[in-house]
Order: sequence, then structure tokens, then C-alpha cells
Amino acid sequence: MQFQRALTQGLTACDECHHVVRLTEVSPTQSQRCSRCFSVIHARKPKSISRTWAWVLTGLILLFPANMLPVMTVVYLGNGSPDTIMSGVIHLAEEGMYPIALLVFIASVFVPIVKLVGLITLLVVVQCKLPLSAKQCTYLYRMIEFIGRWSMLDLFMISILVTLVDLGAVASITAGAGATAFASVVVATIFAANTFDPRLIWDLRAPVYDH
Amino acid sequence: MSEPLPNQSLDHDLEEHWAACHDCDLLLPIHDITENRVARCPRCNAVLYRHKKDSMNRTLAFSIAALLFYIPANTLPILSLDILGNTGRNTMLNGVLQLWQQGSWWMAFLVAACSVAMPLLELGLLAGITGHIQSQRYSHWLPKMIKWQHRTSGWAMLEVYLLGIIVAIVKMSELGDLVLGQALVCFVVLLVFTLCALQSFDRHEAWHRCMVLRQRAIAKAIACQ
Ligand SMILES: [Zn+2]
Ligand SMILES: [Zn+2]
Repeated sequence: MQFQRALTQGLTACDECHHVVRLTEVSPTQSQRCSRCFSVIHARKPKSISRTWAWVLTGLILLFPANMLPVMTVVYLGNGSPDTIMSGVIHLAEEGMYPIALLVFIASVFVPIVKLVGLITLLVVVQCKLPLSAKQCTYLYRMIEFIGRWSMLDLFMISILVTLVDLGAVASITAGAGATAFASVVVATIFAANTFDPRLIWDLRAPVYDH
Repeated sequence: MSEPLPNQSLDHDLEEHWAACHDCDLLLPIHDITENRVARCPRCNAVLYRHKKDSMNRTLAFSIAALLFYIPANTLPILSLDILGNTGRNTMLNGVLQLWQQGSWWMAFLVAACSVAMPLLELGLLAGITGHIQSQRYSHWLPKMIKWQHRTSGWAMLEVYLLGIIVAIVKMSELGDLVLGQALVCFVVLLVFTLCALQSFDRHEAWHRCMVLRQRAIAKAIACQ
């Protein structure tokens, strides 16, 4: 059976509800709306490449303060010992809690880097028309979409710790500037994944598919 | 066999015959989709449609059940830690408040959004959508709710919060007496029911039922005039 690209037939799926609509010529001042959910219709996500680059670069720049500044500080009898993401992982490993150390390492260090590298790969594939497997690029995109949320682990943990250790002058835990930067990295990468349009990868391929 | 391609004269029932893959833009005849329980795009393997049994009923039941556990899970202590006779208690809400008071307002906002506000919004939307559909009522809120459910679906992160609790337990167990609070049970129940509600929700069917109700409402409005 032979299949075609929807766009060649002047059709597209609504971004919001996946309803198939026919693209119509409209004046530049008004936009076409989906007949089912009333969202603005775009053949492809608008300015997908430049917006994704903007979020990716934001995430990339913020990755440095996120990893270099302390994410939390344990204050004990007036003395503070600040922890960065990596030193927190090392502490867990030193105490023999390897599975948890690995879990925190994957969620806080590995996932953000994999997301950013993956998105840059996809952007380069689309912009430079690299002949990589479109199917594998789509799988990469789906993986990036799926893993992003798990980076919030460290932030939730800090929000729990700050209330558990709250002994006034004796001991307390405060969230650091690194945590704020890290929170921004997570949000920037989630937005980057949302603004990227995987259909752009397939637009480089043959418009007809035989199955 | 070659499929006839859609032409403009068939546009009035376009959506009943054609689907476009949201990941690779392949145009697919829809009879391939409704026959199977799970329909995948033949080219990129995207899930186009997954039929769920008794979806509206189950989603309504699970989301209401989850909502019953929402307030205790958020306000009662999940963990408490005893150090030198002093007790620190964590509830989902006071974690956010503490961060806010420490001046990490952006982080407080994000934690509040992903662990407190978004799960409530998600459950409210699911209950609202399925409640409307089950009671056969159409309002202009129904399509808006389905749209917003799709937009916000990735931001409720209760399962990640559970992992955060587990890491916190491991980290703090050596510091003092760690007590697991009643709200931990409420939280796990909330999480399980929320995941069940999301799993049983069939957005495709929700849209279909919404359009049937809208057409009925329009016909009624015309008849009344
Ligand atoms: Zn739509
Ligand atoms: Zn596809």
C-alpha cells in the first residue's frame, strides 16, 4: 500500500487535538482555526527550529551554574557545608548507597546532558539535512520527551529535606542558587522538546511511503 | 492496493476517513485505525490511537477516587524526622512554603506547580470532561477542557515526587529517627488512582463524544428558534 505525506494533500493534523484539517489560504491578519478545538492551525509548529535552539542554548548556559553552584547547604551549628549536584552524588556513593547514587546521577546529570545533546543532534539533522535514519531520530525525540520529567527528582528531594531538617540555630538545610539554575535547565529542556517538530525530520525524506 | 486520496469534495467527513501521523505527517486511512485496539503509524511507529475499554466511566471513577485522597496527601505529614528531640515534618505544601520563605521562589513555584497544582488540575479536568460526557451535557467548556488536558498532561509529576521521597528517606535515615507518616499512604493511593485515571482516559473517544454532543446542542438550538 502506498501512503503520502498529509501536507502534499494540503492537509495537516491539528497540534492540539490531532484532528485532520484542510489548510486554507487566509489573510495574513487572521489565522485558520481548528474546527474541533478552535486552536490556531499550523502546517508545522511555528518557528520550531529557532525556538528550539533558543531553549536549548538557554539550557546549555544554565547547565554551568546548575552544576557549579551549591544546590543545597546543610547548616550545622552555624557551619554550612554546601553541596553541588555532583558532590551530593559522591556523598551517597561514599556511604555505600550505590543504587540511590546512580539514580540521582542519572536524573540530575545524565538526563539533562542527554536531552541537550539529543536535541542539538536533531536540530543539526534537520538544518544540515544529514542522512541519518529518520525513524531512529524520531525514537530519539520520543525518548527525550519521555525522560525530561525525571530530572525534577532532585528538586522534589530538596523540597522534602528543607522541612525535615529545620532545627533553627542547631541545624537546617537551605536550597541554594544551583537549585534555581537547575530548575531552569529542566524547564528549558522540556520547552525545547515541546517546541521541536519531529515532522521536520520526515520532511527531508521521500514524500511517498510504500508499505 | 492503492487507497483513493482525499479530495476537496470529501472534506465534510475528512476526519472520519483520514488521520495524519502527528510525528511524521503520514496520511493514513482511518479504517486501519479503528479495527485494532492499538493503531500505530506504519512508518514511524507512533501510537495514533489506543482503544480503551469503558474509558469515560473508569476515568470518572478513578479521578474522583483520587480527588478524595488529594487533600490528606497534600496537608498531612508524609515524613517526619526526629533529631535531638526536635521534629521536622514534611507535607507536600510546607515543602513549598519553606522554599518560598528561604527566597528560592522560582524553585518553590516549580515544585508547587508540578507536585501540587498540576495534579489537581489534571484530576479536575479528567473528572470534568468525563462528567460532562457521562451526563450527556455539552458546554463550551468541554472542548476547552479536553484541549487543556492534552496541553498540561506532562506537568503533573507525582511519580517523580515518589522517587524524591525514596531518596530523601535513604539520605536522612542515618541522621535521626525517620517516621513515615499517614500521608505517605494517602500519597501512594493518590498516585495510583491518578495513573489509573490517566491510563484509562481515551482522548480520541472524548473528542468523538464531545463532537456528538456539540452537534446535538446545535440541532437543539436551531429547533428552538
Ligand atoms: Zn484541533
Ligand atoms: Zn508516523
